[in-house]
Amino acid sequence: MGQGPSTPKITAQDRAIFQMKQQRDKLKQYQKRINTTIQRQNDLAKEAIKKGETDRAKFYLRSKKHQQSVITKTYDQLDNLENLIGTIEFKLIEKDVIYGLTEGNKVLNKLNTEMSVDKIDKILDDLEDHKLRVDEVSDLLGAGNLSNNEEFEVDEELEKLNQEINGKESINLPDAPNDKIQTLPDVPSKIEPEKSEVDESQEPEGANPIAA
Amino acid sequence: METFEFPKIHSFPPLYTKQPNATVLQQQLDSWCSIILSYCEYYKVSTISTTGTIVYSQFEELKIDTLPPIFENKQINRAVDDEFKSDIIKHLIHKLNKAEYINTKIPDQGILVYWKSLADWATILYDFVENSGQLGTVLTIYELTKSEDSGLPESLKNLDYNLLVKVLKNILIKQGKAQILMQEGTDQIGGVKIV
Repeated sequence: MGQGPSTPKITAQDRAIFQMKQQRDKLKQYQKRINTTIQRQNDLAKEAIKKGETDRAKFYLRSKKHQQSVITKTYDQLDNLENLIGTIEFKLIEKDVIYGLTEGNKVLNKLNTEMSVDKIDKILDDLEDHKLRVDEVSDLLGAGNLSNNEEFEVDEELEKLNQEINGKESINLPDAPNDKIQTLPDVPSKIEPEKSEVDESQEPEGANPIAA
Repeated sequence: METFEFPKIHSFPPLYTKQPNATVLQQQLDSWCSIILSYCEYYKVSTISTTGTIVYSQFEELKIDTLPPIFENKQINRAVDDEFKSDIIKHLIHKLNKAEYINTKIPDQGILVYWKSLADWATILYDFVENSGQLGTVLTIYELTKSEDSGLPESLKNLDYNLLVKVLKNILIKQGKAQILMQEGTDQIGGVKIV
């Protein structure tokens, strides 16, 4: 008792559940006992009938009936107990869940206060300031950013290197054809209106037979 | 249930007399112990008396007084005397570590016979509690040994209370896996919480 470094603790709830379970066990044992008495009374009643002692048989049967009603009562009680035990055990689990939720909430809260908008604004402002300072200093020291011209030269060099490395691929590409396509005929400009006139004149002709 | 079949040596008359030669005596004691262990395993006997009578068997239906005696063979008209019996049991307890007094101060309470080691019993018990999702809940001893509707595996049904106590105290509590609850007003363990 208590000499082990990590023996599981028995809580008050454990004790309560333990007592109820013991009560339940007692009920079960009681049921077993009653069942055997019922069995015995049944046998005794049978014997009494064989001997022709009707009154005695009746007495046993009456007693048996009584025991049977007791048994149904114990089942109800057992049901109650089991329900109660179940409810308590479930509540304990719910308690754990709620504890988990509150803990989680605390952590989230703490994280949120650490990340307030004002604070972040200030940090970003500070960063901007620092950057400006750095630029200023480098300008003063004459080691500032490259001029536009220099940037252009860098781009050119990059292009050159790119061609050296990937050059073969770019040579393999075929040139786009730049000769003009001359085979297409010009769009006729005067014939078309005449054709449409013919179509219009043909329509009434086609329509006449239907009218006749 | 069919009667236990004793090994052939059980019908060998010299086995019943304590042998004077030390080497032969050791063999003789070993033979007796192996008879006891297989006999107890067969009938699921967990407790015997200091004179080798059966005290507790896990088989509820078993009529203990109809079992063939261990230290007697009527066919060859031989029996072990009490003094030699006590030697055999001492050998079983101290040399082989396959048995233990329930209470060393009161030897008459009987001897637990470990045809299955306490550690093995502990594993079976722990596995049952774990697989039935009951780790961390309080379980009554009744529930763990007697109850019909707690889904006990066959090997744990009707387990000897004294054996269960040893399993809990000597193994599971030492491993920090169990804590016991006493039955109010008695010195009996009423329940256990296994984690």
